Amino acid sequence: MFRKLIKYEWVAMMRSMIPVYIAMIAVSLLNGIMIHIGFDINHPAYRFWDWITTYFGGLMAFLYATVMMVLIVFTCIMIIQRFYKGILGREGYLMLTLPVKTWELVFSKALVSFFVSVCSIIVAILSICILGGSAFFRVMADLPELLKELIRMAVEYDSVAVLHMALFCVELVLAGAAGFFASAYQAYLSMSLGQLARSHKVAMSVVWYIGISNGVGMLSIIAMVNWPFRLEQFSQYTILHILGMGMLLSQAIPAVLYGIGTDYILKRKLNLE
Amino acid sequence: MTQELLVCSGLTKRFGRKEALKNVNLRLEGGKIIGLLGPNGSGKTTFIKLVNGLLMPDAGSILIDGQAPGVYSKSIISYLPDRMYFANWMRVKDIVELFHDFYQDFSKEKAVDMLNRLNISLEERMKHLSKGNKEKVQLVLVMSRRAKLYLLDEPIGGVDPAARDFILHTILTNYSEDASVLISTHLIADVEKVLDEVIFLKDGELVRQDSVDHIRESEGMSVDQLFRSIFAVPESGYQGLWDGAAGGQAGPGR
Repeated sequence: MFRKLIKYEWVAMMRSMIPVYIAMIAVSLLNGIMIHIGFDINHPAYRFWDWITTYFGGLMAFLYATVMMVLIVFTCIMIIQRFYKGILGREGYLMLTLPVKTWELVFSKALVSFFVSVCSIIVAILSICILGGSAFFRVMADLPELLKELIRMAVEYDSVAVLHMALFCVELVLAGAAGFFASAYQAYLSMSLGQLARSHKVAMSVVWYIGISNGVGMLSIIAMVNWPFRLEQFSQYTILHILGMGMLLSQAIPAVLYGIGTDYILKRKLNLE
Repeated sequence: MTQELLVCSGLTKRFGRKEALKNVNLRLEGGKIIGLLGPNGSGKTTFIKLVNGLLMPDAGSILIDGQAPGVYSKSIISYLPDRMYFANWMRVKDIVELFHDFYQDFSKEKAVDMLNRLNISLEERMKHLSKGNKEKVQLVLVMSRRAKLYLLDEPIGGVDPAARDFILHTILTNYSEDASVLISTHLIADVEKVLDEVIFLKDGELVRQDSVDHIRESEGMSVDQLFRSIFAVPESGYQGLWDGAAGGQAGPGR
């Protein structure tokens, strides 16, 4: 059932995101052409092309910035909207009466949101590569070989340090993923709490979001102030992993708590009016 | 012994200070068509949402086929809400596939056959369908399941008499024999002929649960007449309105 939920969520998300991705790539291509195609002053097309780049260059750059903004904002809006409309809105009458567990329903939305965000990041990077032109792609193509060589040299120099750095990178990536889920579930929890209000449910969701953010922020400050360990007593590698694991746990623990809270409200306090 | 499909004990639901349902106790058996009758605001939709798990009760309990609302109850209840619950971008075939994927008791062939007979294309997007056709699609999907309990919230509200006949015919010819159908409505005259049993809700309270035959025998009147007698608005309630209008320039045709 969970796979089916993922399938439907993916289709629902992508039907809105794909046009934005296409627009992003198309505008990047146009900008790339403007930047990288030039003609010799004696070429017959020189004057025409010069006219085009003079008059449309600025417009295309503005368009690129706008589409990039739309990509970022739209990804965030879709993540929120898929939960609000899909569970707490009209579509909730269908989704919440499907024979699936509530946490599966919510997690499917969070997981698809995560992969959609990854796609948005890839599209954004690709668009920057397109602006960089063919030289940029050549560098990108050489990058794996360069990295391999760099790692080989580093391993020869200090293999233990490389191992710890690699582990730290994994911790960072996991912390980033956990951070995404913490953010998404914080929004889900806020919306779930907001729907408990008799009126102004959207405004109350925003109030809850701000309240939770401030509460967690204060708790983080208290935890940091009362940190019980002195870092000097640890080795540099241990400090590295305390940092990595600290970042991971500081995101993963709230994510789990927000998830439990959202599930509890949707199961015990649901108020679909 | 007849299996009890739905058992509600002391069911209470409040919205703020207003009690939408007050200590409702009822038992429904399988194999019957039951009318959940009451005027607007009597608690019919609230009751159905509670059974579906879309609302949580403030007090009391609900058992569906012996279990509290959850994954199992959702797998045996086929629910027609009083509103459209499909995303407008979806095509009819997407929704059919969705039901096919999630409900093991859903008959895709039956749904496609009914849609074909209604001349509703599977390729059509929901946003391009008329309101009436959207309602028909939803009803076809709900009735293409072999559920144990059908909960139909106002299935004939807001549709023309011809569509009402189609809806009632679809319900009658498609529900499984051992299942129960709970139809919420205030249009008694249209559904009375198909009902085995009725539940009257008034201001959130269950005022009567009885078989249609018993009502006719004991009261000497139809369910519609009984409904009108229970829920009659006192003359003083609307007389002032007419008087007020007559006192103005031109009252409504009296």
